Amino acid sequence: MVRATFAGFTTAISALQANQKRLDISGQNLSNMNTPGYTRQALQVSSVNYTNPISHYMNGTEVAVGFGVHMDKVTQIRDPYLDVQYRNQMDKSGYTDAMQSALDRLSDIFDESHINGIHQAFLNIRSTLENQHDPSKVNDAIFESELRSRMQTLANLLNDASNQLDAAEKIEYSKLDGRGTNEQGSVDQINEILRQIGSLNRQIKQNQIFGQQSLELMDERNVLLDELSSYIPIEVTYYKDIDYDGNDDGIIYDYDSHGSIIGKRDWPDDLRVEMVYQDANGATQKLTLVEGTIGSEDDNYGKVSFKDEKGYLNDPTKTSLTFTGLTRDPATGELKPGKTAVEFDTPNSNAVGDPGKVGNHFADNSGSIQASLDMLWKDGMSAGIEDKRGYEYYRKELDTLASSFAKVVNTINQLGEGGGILLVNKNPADPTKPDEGITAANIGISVDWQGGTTHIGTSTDRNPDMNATLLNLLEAMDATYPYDKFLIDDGTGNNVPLFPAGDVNLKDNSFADYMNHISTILANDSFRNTEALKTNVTVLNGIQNSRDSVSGVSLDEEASNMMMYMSAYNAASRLMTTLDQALDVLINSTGVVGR
Amino acid sequence: MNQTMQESFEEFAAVIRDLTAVVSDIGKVEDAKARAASEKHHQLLDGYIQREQAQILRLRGLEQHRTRLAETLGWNSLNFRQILEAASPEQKEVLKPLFVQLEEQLNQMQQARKSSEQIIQVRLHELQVAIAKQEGSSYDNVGNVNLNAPPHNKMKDTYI
Repeated sequence: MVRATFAGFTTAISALQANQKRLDISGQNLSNMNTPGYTRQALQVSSVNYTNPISHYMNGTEVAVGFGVHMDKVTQIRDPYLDVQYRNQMDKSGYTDAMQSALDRLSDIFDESHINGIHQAFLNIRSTLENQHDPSKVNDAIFESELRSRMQTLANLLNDASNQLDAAEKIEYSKLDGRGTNEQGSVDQINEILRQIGSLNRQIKQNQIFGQQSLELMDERNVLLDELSSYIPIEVTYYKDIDYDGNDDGIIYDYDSHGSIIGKRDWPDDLRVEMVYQDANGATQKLTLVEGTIGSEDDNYGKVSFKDEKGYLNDPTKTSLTFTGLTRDPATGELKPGKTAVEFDTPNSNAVGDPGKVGNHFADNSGSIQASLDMLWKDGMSAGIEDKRGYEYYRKELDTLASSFAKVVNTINQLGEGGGILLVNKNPADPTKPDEGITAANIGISVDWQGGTTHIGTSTDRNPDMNATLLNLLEAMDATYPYDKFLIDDGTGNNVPLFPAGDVNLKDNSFADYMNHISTILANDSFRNTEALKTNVTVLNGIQNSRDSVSGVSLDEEASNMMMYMSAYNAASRLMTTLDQALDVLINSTGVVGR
Repeated sequence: MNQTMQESFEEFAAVIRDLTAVVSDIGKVEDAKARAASEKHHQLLDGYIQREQAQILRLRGLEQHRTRLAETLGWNSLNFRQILEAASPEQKEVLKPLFVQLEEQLNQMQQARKSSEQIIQVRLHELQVAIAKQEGSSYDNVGNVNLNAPPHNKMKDTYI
């Protein structure tokens, strides 16, 4: 069979067009080199061959040659494995980063290495007691006034630390809620991301069905997925839903007016986002937050909200979140109508008969939301939630210090002649018992001491000296608790400890040292978290670099590609010239003998 | 508690302290491994792995010692929480902070280990992709490298 006269020109044109397109794509890559989230693009091509039917004019020995190159589509160069690893690492970094912010806030309250704080206030009280314990000064109003002002300073510092803890908790809560700040809270940001992903899913699929790749929209969606993974642990799945033409082969066919197939394209992928969490039994569960393009409007995405719509600004430790996702049959995995709510309750709110039991939660070190919840929920002491030391741990330690000090001072002073209650609860539940329920927040100086109707005690049953109570107070300032040297008659002639270990226990520290003990625990927590954060950020950067080497635009690579495409373009142009010459030979120089 | 039991208990507490120190060291080596692999200082990994192996041998020795002492004290095959329940109040006061510290170090070590494993897996994946490119193989759309894929899998028929 004689070859079609202009067949070679089609091949050359396809090569010219393909290389022109490649140059255009290189230009697009280069111009977006510094665009955040941009993924390098490339032209996917395939060789155009004869397929079917084989012409019956063909003779048996004829060799079929293809018709050039076909531009299939413009694709993005991404490695999904690296995307998964990057998002896993974002999750960890998000947690340690949020945790570090919280620990830094606590350091502002408890780090007394550069300021005279509570530790120094205890030392000052001790120093005043030492100066005053001379019997001649016991009833000296000036010395007593100095001691009172030292005690007042200590009470003020404890009150202030407690207020700062309240403020730190509110700031932590504001990070979730956003109220009272000029930024969106994490909850609103997650909802906005889910809404945008749901909407992008619809736009991208619609465009792809009509042959538009929507690569820039896919970039936008990938950036949102990266961002979402810093808040909560997610799994992203690409899947094909039921094919619209019922063939279920993942291919869209284009037909002509006679019903013959004239083209085909891949049926576009849908995207599913699942939140991965653990239930009360520690079993891993998933909640579908975005499901492809199902339904209309907001049917394809879920949301997160505060369980109490009014929020928890008044008591951030009660913060409970509700994640609402699409309903999936647990047995078959099939989607069902309606949405499912998963509640992340405070450990004590779902604890009827099981105090401290943790309900739904994210795995350890998973996302900034869990970091905020850990800091708000966990007190490092109660069963089930002792694994992290949140704000409440430090509050309880501060309260222990305040109540222990008040108990020791009041008890010793009341044993002295003429001594009364010196330190009180400023807002007592029962006004007749002002020394009950003392915490760092409410500790204060008794009105009677301020008014001069109560004084430092003098002699005791066991020591007739005037300075007996002051000596006892001085000993109490130096003692480490539990302390069993102060004894009292239990009424039956037996000596028992005045402060049993169950009543006053500062883990073998004195009052002043207990403040250092709290700071040391915080410093250790902060050091460990800083190390983890450094490692997480370094690993994240390592994965990011690896991902950029695949998906990012490299100036060198694009420059060498441009040279290669230009050479190929020249070659295709040369092919056309050669074919033209061949045609010229055929038309003008063939069979001219005898003309 | 007789003297032998008291000595065993003190030894048990000392072993827990040693375990905490060894676990902390392993955690630091894991951190260093993760950072070295992230910054592509692969030449350092060999040294870290050798250091880690020495620590792991020490950990095994201490663990065997701990198991023997636990048997002596009647805490055979009990976990930390169960030991605290079975221990006397005085023993509990000594052991609880030690267990808390050990648990904290174990958690930190596990997190560091996960990070180092993750970045090492990423580097191995990069190697596989590089080999696949050299040999003309491919990796599929979930990132798995297929070394047996036909080298010219882009050739396909197209309707015209």
